[in-house]
Amino acid sequence: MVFVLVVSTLVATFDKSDGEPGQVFFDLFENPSFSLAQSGQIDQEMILGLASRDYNAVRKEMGVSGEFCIYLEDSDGRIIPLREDIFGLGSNSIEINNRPCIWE
Amino acid sequence: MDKKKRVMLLICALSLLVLLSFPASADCACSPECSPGQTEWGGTCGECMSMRRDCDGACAWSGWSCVSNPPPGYGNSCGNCGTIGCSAGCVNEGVCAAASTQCNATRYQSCTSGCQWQGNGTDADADGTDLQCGDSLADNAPGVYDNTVTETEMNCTDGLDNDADNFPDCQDSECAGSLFGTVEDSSSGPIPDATVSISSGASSVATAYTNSSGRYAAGVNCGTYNLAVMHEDYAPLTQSGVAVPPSTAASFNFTGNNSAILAITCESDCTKAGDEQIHASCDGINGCAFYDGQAAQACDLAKAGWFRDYDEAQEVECPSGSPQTKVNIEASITCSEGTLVQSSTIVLYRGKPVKLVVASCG
Repeated sequence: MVFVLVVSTLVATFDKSDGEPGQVFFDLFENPSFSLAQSGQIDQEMILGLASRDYNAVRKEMGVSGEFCIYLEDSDGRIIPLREDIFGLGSNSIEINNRPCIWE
Repeated sequence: MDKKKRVMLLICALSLLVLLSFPASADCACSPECSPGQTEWGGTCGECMSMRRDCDGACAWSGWSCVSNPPPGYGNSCGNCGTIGCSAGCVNEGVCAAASTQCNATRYQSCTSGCQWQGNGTDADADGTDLQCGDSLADNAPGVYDNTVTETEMNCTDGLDNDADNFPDCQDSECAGSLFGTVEDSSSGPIPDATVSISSGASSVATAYTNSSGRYAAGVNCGTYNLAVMHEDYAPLTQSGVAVPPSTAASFNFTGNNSAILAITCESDCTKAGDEQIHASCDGINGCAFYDGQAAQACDLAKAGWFRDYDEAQEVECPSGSPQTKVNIEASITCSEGTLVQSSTIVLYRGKPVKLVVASCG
């Protein structure tokens, strides 16, 4: 109950998507095959575990046409490293604070 | 015949015809049964009644009916369940007024609704004298007689209410004893402020609390009880069948090798048995070790693996992680080619709600 309240409250304070173009990705999070976002609760293993799969297969499963990178932010928009040396998981053509995303 | 005679003859014939069509009935001269107003009496019926029929105006008999000529008040109730009879006297009277009571010598009687005496006194000691007719209180106590009733419950195990106060044996406070003991942890340290509940069956009998020495005490009637010890930092303990003999201080200790030692519920990850939450109070118990007191307070009620703010600049992984400097960089995403689009949703990560973002360049 507390978890639901906290999450519900914070959902109201966070943007669901950034700008109109992000609408495409809004649907992505409602895609049942994208289980990462469906559970409402993730851990480091779940995110980094994605990299054990083929990048293009994951991209296809997500329905993303371009390159992508998954990362975490806190409520103030600050980066939460996925690992000490990893800011984001995805294509190295996308950089987070000048640090390329990786898929490994 | 001339015309005048023929007319007269016709008139007479019509008159005769009218007379024949409407015969006289007022004097019922033509009736074979009875004369109007005539009455005939038959046999008796009911009590103080007889059969009667009357001749009506059409010279016909009415049916027989039972008519009365009773005495004043006939049939009304009188006396003890009686009624007024034909002779105007009260008949079928009972012997007493309903609901009245009396002592017939040493036996108590009450009058039934049928106005008859019925014995229903209390003579529990079977001495022939009912309680209502002067016997002593011993009549409340089966097996106790005037010559054996005592001022106090002298015997608490004989199954008798010796002093006839309606509280036999251990039900009588005069047979009360007490229960006392000590509650200790696995290190033989006293546990203060534990609640000791004493019950019998489903009924709570008494509640005691341990003092700074871990000791508890409670006054209870003699009997056999179940004990339950509760303390927020320890698993609950129970013990059934603890006997308290009459007028005796009995003890039961939750100590030492008694197998009733209170189990400390803190586990090595600083959670408690049956509880996934970390408790700062577990620090130093059963291998639970926080980085320091500040980390313990930060992790209190968190779950293992969650991160909590240690201070403004550092966070700690609960329960035992050391403080780490928080990354204080606002996310800045760049695409080597294409247009950046982002979408996010809120998820719980390491015990905190965070934004899971997917950035795409396309």
